[in-house]
Amino acid sequence: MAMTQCKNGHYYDTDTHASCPYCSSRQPIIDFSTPDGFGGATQAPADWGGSRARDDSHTQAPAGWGSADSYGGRTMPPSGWKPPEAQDEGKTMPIMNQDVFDPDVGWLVCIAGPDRGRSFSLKAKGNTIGRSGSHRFDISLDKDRNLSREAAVATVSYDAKRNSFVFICGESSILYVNGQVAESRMALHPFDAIEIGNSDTMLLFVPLCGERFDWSAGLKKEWG
Amino acid sequence: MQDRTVQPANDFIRPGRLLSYQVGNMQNQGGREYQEDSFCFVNATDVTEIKTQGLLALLADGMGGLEDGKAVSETALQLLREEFLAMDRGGNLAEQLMTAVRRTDESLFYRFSGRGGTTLVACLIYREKLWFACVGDSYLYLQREGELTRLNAEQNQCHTQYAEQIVQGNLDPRAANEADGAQRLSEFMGSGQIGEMDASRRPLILRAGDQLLLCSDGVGGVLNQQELCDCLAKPTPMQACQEMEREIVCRNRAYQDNFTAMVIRCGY
Repeated sequence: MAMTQCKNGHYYDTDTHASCPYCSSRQPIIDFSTPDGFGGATQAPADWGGSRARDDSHTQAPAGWGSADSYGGRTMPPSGWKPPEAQDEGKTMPIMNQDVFDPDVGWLVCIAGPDRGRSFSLKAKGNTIGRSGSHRFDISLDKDRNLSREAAVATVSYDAKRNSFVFICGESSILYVNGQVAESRMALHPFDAIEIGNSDTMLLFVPLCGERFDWSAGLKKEWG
Repeated sequence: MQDRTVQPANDFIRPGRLLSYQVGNMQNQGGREYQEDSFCFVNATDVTEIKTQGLLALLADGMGGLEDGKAVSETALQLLREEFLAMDRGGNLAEQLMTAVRRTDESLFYRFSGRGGTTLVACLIYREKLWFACVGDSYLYLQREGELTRLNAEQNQCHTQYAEQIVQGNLDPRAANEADGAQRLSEFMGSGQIGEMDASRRPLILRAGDQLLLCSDGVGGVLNQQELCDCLAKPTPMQACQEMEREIVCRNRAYQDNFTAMVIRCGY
């Protein structure tokens, strides 16, 4: 035997194999499902599954993980096992968005200015409005060069407890809501128009959560 | 029963003489659609590197049914190889190995989003000592003086349940063995939250004649200890592995699982 190691750390005999037999996908496949008969011994039919159910020498399919048929005794996670939530213990970790329920609560629709026609989702948090560059803003009016890249123009926050929206002015521009100079902190109402003083941009506030609907209580039916 | 007389033949030890290692491996797909087991040796052929870095043997049995068991088991080995090469040989290797396994588990969790998993047996041999870390239900055996001893406990439901039973004073293992889903894993690599791991805190000092056998449950769950001993009696580790493969193929079991074995023989 002339033993050699392949780059993946497998050992094989170069007298019998030209290349590593464990790296190639062409491994020997033996038809274990059809028992060989010895001299007329009674054979189980090829599709006999009797031993399968009792085959507990292997780790088995967890309950509730897809169809049990597809597992057939392969190594399995524990029953009822669910991927844990990502835990950020001061380490840099990716955020797994698919695991977090983060629904939209309303929108800001740009009805005037360079970004006219775009809409922006509002999430259940403070949504910053600005022009993304070195800073990231939740609502980024990329085409409006009158906006600062440094600071948020304003923030629209959703208050889940009161199921209402709050508008908070930033420091970089003077702002108008429905044509009036905005207070530093004020409640927003459906279809309030937000104008940014030093540009042509106008944003229309379109809430989803309000009297008729919110994500915890659901839709309030006013019919039937 | 086994002959337990000690053979002193090659047992005289000269100071400064180092153990050398012979390795063997085998892998077979069994009756499954895919091969989801992975294994690798690091440094097993290079005497100088065994001396400076040590020898690493890894075996991983990817979980079928979850996303691509083979990809997960291969990735686990790749990550652990990198961890192994970066270890500080002067430091606490037991701790470093456990940390490496936990880090690998976390990386697998983020890479496969918790949708894939694998078991793991990791053996690190450095300066004639063995450190190991195992997660899941793969096997690690030590054969010393003819006696085969399993070094790791498996982490599955029946093991967990039996441990709980013992606390309550019930020592009868039958209930745990016969429980629903007894063979399901309670811990595995890729869950991102390994609770229990079977690992050595202090190294096992290896002796000439010792044999280590790492195998997936396709071997350990099929061949009993006496049969494994018979295979290990072959002249070389590679032949021992081939004998195991032959034995299992001869069994012709319906739905034979993937099976993989690795043998490390210590000698002068």
